[in-house]
Amino acid sequence: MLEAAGLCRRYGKSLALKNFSLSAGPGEIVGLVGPNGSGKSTAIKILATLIRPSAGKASICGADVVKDPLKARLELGYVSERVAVWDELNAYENLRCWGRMRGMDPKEVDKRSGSLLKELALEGERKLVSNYSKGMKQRVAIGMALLHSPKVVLLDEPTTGLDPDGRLLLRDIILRLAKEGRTVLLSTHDLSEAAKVCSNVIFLKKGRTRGTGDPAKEDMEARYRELMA
Amino acid sequence: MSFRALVGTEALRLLRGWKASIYLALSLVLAVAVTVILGTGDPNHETPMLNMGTIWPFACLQLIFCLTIFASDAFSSDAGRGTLQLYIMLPKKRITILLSKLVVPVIFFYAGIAIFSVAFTFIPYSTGFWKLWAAMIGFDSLLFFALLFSTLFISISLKGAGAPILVSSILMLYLFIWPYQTAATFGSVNPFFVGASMMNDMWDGALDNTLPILNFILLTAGAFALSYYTLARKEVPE
Repeated sequence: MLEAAGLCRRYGKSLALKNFSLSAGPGEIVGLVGPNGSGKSTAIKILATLIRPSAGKASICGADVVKDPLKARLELGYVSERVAVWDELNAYENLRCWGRMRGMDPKEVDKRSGSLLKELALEGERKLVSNYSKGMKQRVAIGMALLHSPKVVLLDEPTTGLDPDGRLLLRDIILRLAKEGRTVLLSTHDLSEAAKVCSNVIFLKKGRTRGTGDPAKEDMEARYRELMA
Repeated sequence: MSFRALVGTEALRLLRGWKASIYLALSLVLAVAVTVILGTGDPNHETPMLNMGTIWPFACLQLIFCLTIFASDAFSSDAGRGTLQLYIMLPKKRITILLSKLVVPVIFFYAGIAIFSVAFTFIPYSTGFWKLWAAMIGFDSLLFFALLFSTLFISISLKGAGAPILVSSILMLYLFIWPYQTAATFGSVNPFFVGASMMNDMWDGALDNTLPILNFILLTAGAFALSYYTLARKEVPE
């Protein structure tokens, strides 16, 4: 479902990502863990078709992210590090407009929006998003990413700004997505979060993959210390 | 359907903000001002006080307002606020996104023109007035599209709201106020500025039949191609 091989990305002379590879199937939750500037967001942005790799290949459900980005985007849900929602609209309007812009059936959009807003505890919110807290905006962004029931979900530090309730809610959603057979790639700074939800963790530092860890078999904190030393 | 949704979302966002109110209010003020000026002419004359020089400055101001308020930060404000990625993530071709962003300033521009037209119905002029007004709208439209794409290109290339609005305003004021000086300074690009020079001819009341349509078309096509090329290669800024 989600494949990447030898991905590299340069910004001028600096190498933000080097030789990043990944393979994740249905129902898998893969974590990307590393300090700031380790290349987590760069890897996710390449997979989300937002930036192009300098070298390497990646595909979403068989669609190449460089050669066939439109097809890849059909199966992709993405929540960015920087909350991307329209401030001038309310939560429901954000979801409805996003769904219709994607070409979804209006009835389906209304049905999915209603159930997602309920799940995200945003039901009945009539205020414009500009009046929301960062955590609430983040929940709207998560709703938008899941609206079209994507097969692959990319989450770039989605817990940033979320309160404890929001974090628990998001954890439940991620686990539900995996149960439904969707592939989730989660970038996070939070080792305990990664240990609780991920089936596999990739450790990155300065754009290079330092190793992987299996939260079911290993202590993630000890593994992190071992690889990042 | 999705193109309509793109345009609808864009229009809804603008209507919820301050820009649409400011623009429509300014259009109304300009329309009332030009109506009052025209209305003080000799009503027995077939087209009293009527020459392009009377209406042109007002129509130009309305055009500038529209372009600077709506087009100059159509993409750049989204890039600044992080919502550009929503458009880029759509499973749609970039040309669809570019065109959808183009439609909204066009709608608002003609809404402004409609406000002018409604205001003019209060002036008891003969049909000659409306013929000239129609010609005026035609010329204004040519200029509008040429500048619209240039403004969109600026918006695609920059980030944030302030800088693109400033650059677009300077560009437009330059083209409007100093056409002859510009043409004289940069002789090799004279054809580009012929359109602006023609405006001064119109200012003097001579509606020439040799409107520089070709120049406008070339400017529109060139700016469109450049806008599309830049947007097609656009990556989401950090």
